[in-house]
Amino acid sequence: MMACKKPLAHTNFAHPFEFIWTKANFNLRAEVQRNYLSYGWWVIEPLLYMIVYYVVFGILLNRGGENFTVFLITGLIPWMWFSKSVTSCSNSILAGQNLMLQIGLPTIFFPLIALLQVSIKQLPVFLIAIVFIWSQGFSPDIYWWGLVPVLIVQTMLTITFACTVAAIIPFIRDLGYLVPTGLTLLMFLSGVFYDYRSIAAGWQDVFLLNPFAFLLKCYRDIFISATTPDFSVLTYWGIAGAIGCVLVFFSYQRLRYVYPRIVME
Amino acid sequence: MNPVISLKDIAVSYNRSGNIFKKKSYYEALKSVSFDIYQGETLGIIGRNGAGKSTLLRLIADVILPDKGKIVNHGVSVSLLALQTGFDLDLNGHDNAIISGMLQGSSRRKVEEKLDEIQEYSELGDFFFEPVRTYSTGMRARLGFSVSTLVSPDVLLIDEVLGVGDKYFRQKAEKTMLTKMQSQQTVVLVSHSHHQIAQLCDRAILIDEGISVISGVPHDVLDIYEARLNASSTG
Repeated sequence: MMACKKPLAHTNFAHPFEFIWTKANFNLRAEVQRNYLSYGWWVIEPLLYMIVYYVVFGILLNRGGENFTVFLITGLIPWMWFSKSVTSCSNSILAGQNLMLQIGLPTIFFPLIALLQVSIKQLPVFLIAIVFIWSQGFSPDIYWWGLVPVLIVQTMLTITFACTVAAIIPFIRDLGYLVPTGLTLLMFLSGVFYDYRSIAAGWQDVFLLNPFAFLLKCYRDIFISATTPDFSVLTYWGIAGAIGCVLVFFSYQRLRYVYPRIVME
Repeated sequence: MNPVISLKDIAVSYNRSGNIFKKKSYYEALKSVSFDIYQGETLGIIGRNGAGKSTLLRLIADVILPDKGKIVNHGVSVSLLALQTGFDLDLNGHDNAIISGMLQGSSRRKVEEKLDEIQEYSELGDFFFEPVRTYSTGMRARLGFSVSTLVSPDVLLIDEVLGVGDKYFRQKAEKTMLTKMQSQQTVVLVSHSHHQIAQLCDRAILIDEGISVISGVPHDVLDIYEARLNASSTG
């Protein structure tokens, strides 16, 4: 007889957001204290990426063109936010097993803490990038308001994607090996360092079906072309992202008692 | 007296993970366990290694669900204190104490108000601000015990923690436990020390080969446990 009755939820969290915020901040502090350059790495690391791509694509391959630095920044920084979120979430549930076996807590906390940690680290980079773009003669105008919906849509899509990857990996751990390769592939398909208009005309529409290719195009519309992004397509992705977030949340709730067993095996 | 948590005919089996070269297999950690935990009692759980005691504590702590049987929590908060505490090794003792306290249901402010007390009770000194990575097993147990006793859950589960650390801290912990018991704290204690079970517990339960064999006065249960151990070692 399989009479598995659910017990009362006696580990109901009184302060879920406070907990996630506190843990993410403590993690960041601990991470920073281990390094000699401490907070410096938050800015140095993306800067190094910028230099590498600039040298390879802007100078060696001579793919640059006008304002290549700004073009690169508007693609690379939003991309790094996404890619780092997925990377750090991917292993978060397995890494949390110590805690998970100790106390009954919602499993979604683990990827959410990782996401928040990455996002906090991206904040100064975002601000510096904006100051830089401004200094290059692209001053703030009314179109910059478009950033608000674009950032919201990217956040929802990132939560959906990163939490889904995090949810699957404990079941099929081999997939962990595919995350870096998958992200590299997605990066090449998103036009981080080339303009979508440079690919064959027939393929451009297909190319923009990739939400991240579309989002990067939005950032460039706002910062470089000074136009409004395509709000109708953005709305579609916004709806998809919102549905994705809800589905992710309920899936995690259903799997709440499955993960502690999975990580033990 | 009303039970706060009831377990009825609980069974748990784990998968042993397989891959393309190895078939999946199963392992029965618990076969049939039934007992009640009553308000205000100190219940000792004894059994040899691999008898399923850790699995049992995880069930009570609402970490996993049983495959068969029923576990009913009558609305109490539970927190598990074990040697493999949920500490983040990279965070320092101070931060871990806050996180631990929050996990046991307190708000951050409430834990922070008790931090001085926690630091003092744990006797960690300056180590309180060092990463837990650098702690000895005894120091980790001390920190865990300090947080759990100062941020009281309704039911406190203790897995072997009282057995570590030096004699001085052990006595202090036992003394705290005795005070707690007098103040109606419900405690479930897993220990290999017969002395501790006999001294601290009101009642004991013997788990052997995944089955709850007997429950009763600690002395009687310990005698039966001894007899079983001897029987299996000679025969």
